[in-house]
Amino acid sequence: MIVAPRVSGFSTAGRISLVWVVVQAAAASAFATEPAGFAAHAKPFLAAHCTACHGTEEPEAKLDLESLTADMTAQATAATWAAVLRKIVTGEMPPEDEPRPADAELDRMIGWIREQLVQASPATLALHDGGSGNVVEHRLLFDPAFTAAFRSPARLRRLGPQQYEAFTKTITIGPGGTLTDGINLPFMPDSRGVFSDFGAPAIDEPTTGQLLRTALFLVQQQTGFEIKDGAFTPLRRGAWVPGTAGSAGNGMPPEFRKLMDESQEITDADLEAAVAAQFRIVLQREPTAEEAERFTAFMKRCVADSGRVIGGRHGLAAVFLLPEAVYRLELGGEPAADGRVRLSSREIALGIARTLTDRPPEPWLLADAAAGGLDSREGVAAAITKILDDPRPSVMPGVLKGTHVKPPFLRFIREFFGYPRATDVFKDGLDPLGRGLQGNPDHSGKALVEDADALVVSILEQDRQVLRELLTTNKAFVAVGMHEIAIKRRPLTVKALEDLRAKEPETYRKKWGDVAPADLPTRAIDKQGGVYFYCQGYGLDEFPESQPVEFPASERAGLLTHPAWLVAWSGNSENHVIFRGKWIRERLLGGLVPEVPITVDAVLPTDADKTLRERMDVTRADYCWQCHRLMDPLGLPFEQFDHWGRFRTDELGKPVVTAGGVTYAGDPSIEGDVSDPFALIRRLADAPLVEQMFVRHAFRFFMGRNEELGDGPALRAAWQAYREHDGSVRRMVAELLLSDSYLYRVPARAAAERASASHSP
Amino acid sequence: MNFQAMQLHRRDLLKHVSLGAGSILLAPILSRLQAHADGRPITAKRFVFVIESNGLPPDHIAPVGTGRRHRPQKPMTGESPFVDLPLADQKLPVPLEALEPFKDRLTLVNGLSSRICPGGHSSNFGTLASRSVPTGSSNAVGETIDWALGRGLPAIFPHVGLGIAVQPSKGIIYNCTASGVGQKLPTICKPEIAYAALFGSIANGSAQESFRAQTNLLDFMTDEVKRVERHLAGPEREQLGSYLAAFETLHDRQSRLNDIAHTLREQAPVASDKYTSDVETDRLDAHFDIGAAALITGLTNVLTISSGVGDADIYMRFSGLGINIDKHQIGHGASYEGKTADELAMIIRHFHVGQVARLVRKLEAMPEGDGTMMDNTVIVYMSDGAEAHHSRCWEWPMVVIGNAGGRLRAGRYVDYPGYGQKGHRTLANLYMTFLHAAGLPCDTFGMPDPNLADFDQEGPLAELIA
Repeated sequence: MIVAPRVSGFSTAGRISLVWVVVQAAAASAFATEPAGFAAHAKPFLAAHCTACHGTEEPEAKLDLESLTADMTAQATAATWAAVLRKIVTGEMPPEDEPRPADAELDRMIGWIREQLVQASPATLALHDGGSGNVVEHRLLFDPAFTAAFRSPARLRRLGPQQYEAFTKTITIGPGGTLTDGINLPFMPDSRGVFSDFGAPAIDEPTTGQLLRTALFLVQQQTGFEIKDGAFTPLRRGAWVPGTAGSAGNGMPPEFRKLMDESQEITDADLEAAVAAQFRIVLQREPTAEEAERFTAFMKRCVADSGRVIGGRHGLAAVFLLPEAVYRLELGGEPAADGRVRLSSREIALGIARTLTDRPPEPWLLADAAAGGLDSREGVAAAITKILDDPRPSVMPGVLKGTHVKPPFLRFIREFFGYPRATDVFKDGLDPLGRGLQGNPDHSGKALVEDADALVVSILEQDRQVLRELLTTNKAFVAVGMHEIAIKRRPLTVKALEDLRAKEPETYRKKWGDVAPADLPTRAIDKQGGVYFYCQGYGLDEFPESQPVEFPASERAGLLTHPAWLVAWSGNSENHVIFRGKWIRERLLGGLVPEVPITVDAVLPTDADKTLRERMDVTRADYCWQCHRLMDPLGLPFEQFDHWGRFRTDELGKPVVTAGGVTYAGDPSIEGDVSDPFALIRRLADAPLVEQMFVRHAFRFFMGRNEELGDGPALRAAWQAYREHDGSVRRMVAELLLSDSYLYRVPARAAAERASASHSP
Repeated sequence: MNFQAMQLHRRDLLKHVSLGAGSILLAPILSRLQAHADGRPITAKRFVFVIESNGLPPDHIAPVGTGRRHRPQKPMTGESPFVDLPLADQKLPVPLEALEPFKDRLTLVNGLSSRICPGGHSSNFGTLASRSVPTGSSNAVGETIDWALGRGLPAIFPHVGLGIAVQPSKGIIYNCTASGVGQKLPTICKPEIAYAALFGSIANGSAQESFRAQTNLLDFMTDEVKRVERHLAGPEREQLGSYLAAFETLHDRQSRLNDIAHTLREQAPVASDKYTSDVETDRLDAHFDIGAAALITGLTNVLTISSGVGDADIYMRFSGLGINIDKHQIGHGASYEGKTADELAMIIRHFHVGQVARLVRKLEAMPEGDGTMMDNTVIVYMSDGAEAHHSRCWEWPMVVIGNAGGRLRAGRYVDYPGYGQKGHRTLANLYMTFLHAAGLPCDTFGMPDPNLADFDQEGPLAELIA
């Protein structure tokens, strides 16, 4: 059994970070109507566990929970509740020496605060959660004996940025490729949390303005034409109309052509036909009779006011702006007695296709949905399998080409490990402590990320023991992009050198001596050919003979020792123990690390003769160590590598010290000291807790929300599927999409009604 | 620019819009125009924030001969005087040279801190909010000063954010302005998008047709989204609510833009190759033109122009100035073609300040009331990186141009006592000074610095109020 990661003994840090909350709480407004459950559950909980210290009389940390109201619409009050939530979830409070509340009591209290905050001040909740789903008790999620309320919300989610991009490509693809050059995509990846497509960001006014421009851009691509020798000539090279083979020759759908070509007469029926064609292209369905009527009338008005070209294009653009075209609808039908609704077949078809592939569904899936094929769990399972086991390899340019890995799967691993950050970490080779240049002239964050991508894709393609492989493989792809160029260019360079030798033997001899061009070291040839040598992060002096390269197991073990990950979680000119420790603590051990208290001025001493480990001794001061103990022991073993990601045995002329340890993991079987990063990684790779945290992150990525206690069954099933199928991420994700957490929802109205029923005294 | 014509239209406008349907929504601009037509004094103020990345060191704004350098990066003890020098007798430092003609309304402020901000390369959304943000976090943590002013000085657009980012392909970014927790406001990085958003109603020959089609489309979409919204409840309904509100705002704005098309036509900047240029100086130049026109036409009263602001864009490269290394490298002390990092930073600053001076001149050329538009405008030049490339926010140098219709005592260089010394004040105090000058007085803004609990962190800087 896995014990929940628990952090305790935070009294001092807690006191300080709460100060400002308290200052603001003083201004809290009086509440009008008290939310359900406050008197029945919340107040007694505070009375039993909190107000003895945090009462109105001389409260500890100036935090008065006795007079705290339940009105979370007041921002200061909401912030105080959010802080309380965090303290009890992480186990910081009640303090270690006080009795712990019972599980059921705790769950009810956590559930109540979260529910109130979701309703009254979701932004405050998001800010205080730090976007982390780790606030949910791990032990209870994976405890089959524990049942919690099912809260999977009915949702309206803006399409993911990548999904929208894939959609625009399906609109403009034709025999000549896609026509999306110059497009401005309306939705930005969100860089705030771990995952770039998470939650349901509002579509605000500037985004809507951008959507409008994007819609007009796409219509322009659909209907572009010129008048050539007096004849109407479409510019389009082709259009992909889902469910048809496209229109060969010229790609403009005939319905649009008729609308745009002003030399032809048109009737209302033609306008209606153009509207229907646009519905089929954009929404992959026919308009309803009512829609056809409304849109045709609108089209008529547009044409009357602005002509067939400009008016007609705006008329067609409307379909791109319908909520159905910009949102993921996960609403379902009418609630059953238990408050749940099942997603509609069409929602499921759209949902699974986009979640698994980024793209809209293929015609077979929509036909399946229309024919009732997705009405049963088995039917959905068959459809998911068909998508995941699609034998056609990817034709997308880039690292996925020729593989069967779907883009969201690669993106999940990228964002989980965070190694693409390597491109953002500026390295200039200057040592700020004045120890001279410690450069790596061939460093390229982009090349390292490409290498890591190649490794991840090869592991995902195998789809066996994925997490273990990601954490332990001693294989790596080295400078894959540049290597390919080097191989291609070598014969050309040799040829050029041979020409030089024939024409100007003296010039050649001066530089190369009597060695024939073909016999020169490959590195010299490559350099002459202007090839960048991106291999230094791996400690190599030559491009490898073949890919992937197998490194000694005592030098590399998986992504955490990959130069891309090491650079991503490093500073400008040295390693970053804290980033690395925090990463392991939060993503593999399910812990939480508090933000740096605002009064802390975190700076390391600058003694040039000391190693980073030695200089980090300052974090051992009692006050600092309360947080640093959660990160430093996990991050220090990676001193095995320099900040370019190079394996090293010495540092400042002495053997490098790589000791560290796993602490406060909540699982005694993985706690204890480690001698080096390899021992640390092995221990992590063997731990069920780590595997479960991987599943929890997959849930967050593929569901786009944080897990709640009610999602325990979905997580347990996904974990079991992962184990039963030899560590298959595809099976794990399939299981998530087959879970009640995905297929069934609780509409907000039903949830609110049930909450008030269960909380009323 | 034809100022006579402009004046004529600003007057003309009144005749035909004051009775129109949009008149209530146009109230602020109309009242100003009415006042203008009547020759009464104009009270609405304008604020412009020009933010340049990678720090603004105190010596870059201190008059020549003051010998002002960075203060020690720690709390200070003892006493230190409040420095107050009339600029008339001072020579401005090289980076601020372009402001020499405007010394009478210039205020240079050194010595303010904002330790509540995270520092580092950028304080991101903390910069204009004076709030704590985790280092490197791009969370919006509260209302920023530009939005606070914009919402108090309404116009068709309460706030316009323009800026440049490293990648020319970036259209809209979110980097420094927010209306509240988690509520980021956009910075438009492509001048062509900014132009379309502000002056699209008069864009080209077929403008009339397009504008009408767009109005029809927004009208129709408002109804279509409402139709879906009716079937929803709870957070789902709220989600769609923001989409619906967006269409309503766009539609509403469309009719208002329609109403002032005359003015827009007179004052809209001329779109040029600069709008789509890969060269960052061209794009910034274009943004200053668009921003100036937005102020002059009354489209907005608050403008933020950001240059490489936010952690994501600290690698701005000013190749347009012949400097082919990025600002992050310069921040780390890199030299280029014989110029030191500090000299390079000054060249880049010189360019930005030159743009500011150009904006001042444009506003000075626009008559308003008994004077010019500049009389009622305050332009603030600062850095999201406080005082250094790797800032810790012990001090935050600020350049303020304009006296807000005489509400600010300008024409001076002031230097507040150091962090922890008697009389020390914070950046938030200066922000409150702006609110005060805008006629929106308040006693608190942002989050107080808990280490300055014994200091006066409330209200405006009395020394700067006239």
